[in-house]
Parts: sequence; structure tokens; C-alpha cells
Amino acid sequence: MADPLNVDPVAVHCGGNHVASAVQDAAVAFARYEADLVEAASGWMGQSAQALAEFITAVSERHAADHAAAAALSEKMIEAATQYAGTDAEGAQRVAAIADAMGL
Amino acid sequence: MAGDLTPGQVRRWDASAIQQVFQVVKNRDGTYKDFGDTLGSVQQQLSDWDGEAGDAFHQEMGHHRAHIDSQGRVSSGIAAAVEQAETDVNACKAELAAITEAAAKYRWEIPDGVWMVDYVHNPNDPDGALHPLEQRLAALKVKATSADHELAQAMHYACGHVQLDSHGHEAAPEPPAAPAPAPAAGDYHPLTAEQLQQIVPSLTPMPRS
Repeated sequence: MADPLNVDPVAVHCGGNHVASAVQDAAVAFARYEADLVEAASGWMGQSAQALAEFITAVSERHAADHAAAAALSEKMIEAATQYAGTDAEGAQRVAAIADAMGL
Repeated sequence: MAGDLTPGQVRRWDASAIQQVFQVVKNRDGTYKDFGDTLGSVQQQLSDWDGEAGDAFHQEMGHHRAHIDSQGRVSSGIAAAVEQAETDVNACKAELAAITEAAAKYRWEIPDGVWMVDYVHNPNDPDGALHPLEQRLAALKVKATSADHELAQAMHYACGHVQLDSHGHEAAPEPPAAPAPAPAAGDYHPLTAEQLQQIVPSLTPMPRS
């Protein structure tokens, strides 16, 4: 049996969009940090320069992993909101109106 | 020794670049904190979302937040080592510049590639200045290599802090690299039973009561 509607689908949809927006902001910052680290690396020498290179690689991989995970979460939230709304005509209209207003 | 810095590398070493990296790591911590706060506020707004989908959401969000929050604390683990490295780099550069200047008075040089006083242009040493300069250079090599090693350890720690293992879990970072003070003469280091037995093979360990 399907779950009863335990939450406002609009709130879930908005939450998903909020997460998606934070993901985008973080992605811009992550890209800048990676570029800044590469730029600073020229002033590092020896073993520490090698360790910094490994750190930059690890940071880039971590950024990509966290970005992908949070983006997937936001998509799931928006999808869940849509499914909830599908069981609730009024909710569906509200979600559609919100999405339309957001240009989605 | 492999991994030793050269004089040329000490000359090109840039303490401000070390500070620049630390600043990036601090800013990155801030971004992750903001990111975590945003996820937290979204979760709070949806706190009444229960049922199968809601439980799955809260579980997944909790998992993400743990990952995100852990990334907001990387800089604190390397702050002391970075500060020490900046001091050491500046000191090493200043000492090399002073040695180079002192050597130049005799038309001697400190080449970029080797830790030596090159006196090929003037083999005369009327003041007995060569040996003290060589000693200062040898001490500088040790200090520069040690500073490089300490900073490398700190960055390896930071690396462990940001890495995920093959299952996508936080990899346990190595303990933070605390700048290791040089052991003072006379420091007491107790021998292990194995070491003692190697020195005095006739000793047998006492049975534990």
C-alpha cells in the first residue's frame, strides 16, 4: 500500500531545489579552490610539493563525489515530490505552479 | 639522500604559496560548512516527512551531512604544521641568502644543484672562511629537508582527511603531523624487551604472573 501523504509535496520540491542551488554554488567554489591550489603549487618544493599534488588530486575527486551525491539527492527529492503530487491533484497543480514560476 | 631539497629549490621555495594553500583549505572548510548548514536547514524544514520515502530521505541526508561536515574541519588539522613550515621556509631562505652573500666576498658560489661551496674561481682561503660556510650549509640542508618533510606529512594527513575509500566511506586519516622537536641530548628512551635481549642474549623474559 502506498504511504499516506506525510509531507507537503511543495515543501519537498522546494527543498530539492534548495539543495540543487547549494550544489551549484558549492561547485563554483570547488572549481575555484582547485584552480587556486594548482596556482600555488609552483611555490612548493620537494616532498611537500609531491604531497600537495596528491592532496589536489584527492580534493578534486572528493569535490566530484560530494557534488554528484548531493545532486542525486536533490533529484530524488524533486522526483519524490512529483510522485507525491501525482497522488494529489491539488498538490500536483501547486508543484507545477511552483516549478513553472522557477522556470523548471 | 633521495628527497633532499637542493639549494635551488630552497631559493625558489615560496612561504606565501604555503599560506595561499592554507587559505584555500580554510575557505574550502567554510564552503563545506555552509553546504552542510543548507542541507541541515532543508532537513529541518522536512522534519515531519516520514513514511518509507521520508525515512529514506532522512537516512540519506544524514549520510551526506556526515560526509559534508567532515570536510569543514580539514584546515585545523594542518594549521600548526603550516605555520611552522612558513617560519622554517623563510628562515632557510634567509640563511641560504646569507651564506651565498658571505661566499660571494671570496668569489665563491653556492650552486643551485649541489650543497657545496664552489671555490673554483678562487681556491685561496686566507681567512679560513670556507669550512665554517660548509658547516652552515650542511646544517641548512638538514633544516630545509626536515621542514619539507614535516610539511609533506601535514599534507598527507590532509589528503587522508579528504579521501573516500573504495566503498565511498570516509578514509581514516593518519594522525595529524605535529612538528617533531629534535630530541634533546640525554632524552630517556626505555629499551624494549626485544632490544634488551639482543644486547644481552642470556636474558630470558620473566614469566608474567
